[in-house]
Amino acid sequence: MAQLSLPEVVATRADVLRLHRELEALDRYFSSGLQSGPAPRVSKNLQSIARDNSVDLNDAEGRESIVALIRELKDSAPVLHMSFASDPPANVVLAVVSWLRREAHPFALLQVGVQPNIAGGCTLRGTSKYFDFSLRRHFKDHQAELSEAISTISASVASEEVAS
Amino acid sequence: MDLVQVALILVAAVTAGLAIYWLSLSGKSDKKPKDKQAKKNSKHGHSLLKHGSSTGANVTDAADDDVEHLFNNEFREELKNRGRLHFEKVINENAMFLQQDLRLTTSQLNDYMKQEIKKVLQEEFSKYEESIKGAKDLAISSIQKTQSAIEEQRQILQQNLTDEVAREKQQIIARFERDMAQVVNHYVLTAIGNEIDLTDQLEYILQYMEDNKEAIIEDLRHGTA
Repeated sequence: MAQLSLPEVVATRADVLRLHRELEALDRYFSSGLQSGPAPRVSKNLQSIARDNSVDLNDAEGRESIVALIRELKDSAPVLHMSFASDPPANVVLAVVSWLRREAHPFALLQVGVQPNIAGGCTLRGTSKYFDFSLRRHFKDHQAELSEAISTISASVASEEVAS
Repeated sequence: MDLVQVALILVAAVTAGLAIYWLSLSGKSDKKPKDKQAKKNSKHGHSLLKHGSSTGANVTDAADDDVEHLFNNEFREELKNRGRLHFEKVINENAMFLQQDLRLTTSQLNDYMKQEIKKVLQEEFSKYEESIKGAKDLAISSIQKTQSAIEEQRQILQQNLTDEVAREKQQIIARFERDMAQVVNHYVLTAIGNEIDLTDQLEYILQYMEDNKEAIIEDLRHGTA
């Protein structure tokens, strides 16, 4: 993997693909030699990755290093599928990606999904494992206790009916 | 008994009639010979007187003449009339008696027939009543047996129904208790799913990830290897 760092704002595989398209557009713009027209728009993510890695996007060699990084991310970066009950806000995604890159892998990417039936928490699906940190799983783990409580209540209600 | 009396009366009446008739006939037939004999005797008496016979013969002739004089035709007619009247009286009396006997016999016969009919009817009614009573007893017995069977079946059905209801109730309660937890879970998840802010959950999510860090790292490394 290239010796560049990946900012946390580039969190998902979609972000990587978007960066790749922007870099290709910049290369086409600079390689054409006709800089009279408007320059392609540079996203905040691309600006962030250039800034963090001290790369000048006008420099072809610098762009090439970022392209190499992006290409390598596309091909071999570990992707973790993470589902929430609703669309997660950006700070949540950033916090999760920060933890992943700090604790697990420096170039880990996320693929965010939505599963309303989990109610709360999240689910993680890696290459071969599945982690369920959802509220649904929590309730299911404690369903026996709930059943026991309901049985107790039903028995007490039935005994009251018989007594009356 | 009465018929025999009636028959005897009729026979007596007929016999009396025949006797009177015979008397009347015999009176007529005796008249001429007696007259002839009287005349003959008269003539013979006259001849005897004429010829100077005995005094006894004259007395007899005189008696005969007196008899002829006493029982002349008027007297005989009077006797006939009296006999006829007496016969009519007897006949009327007998007819009256016969009528009375007939009435009595008819009355007795009516009573007898009434009694016989009553007796026969009573016997028939008694048999009919016994037959009806037997049929009634049989019907009552059959109805009682049917009622007993129905009651027994009702009790069995009631017991089965009670058992079935109790079993069904237990099954429903067990199913309710089994499914209720799932229902509650689903309800809570549906009710609060959109109400929990992910920012508030972030700490718990990171804690879960921290608790499973080794497994996550291993899985990621395994994927990149």
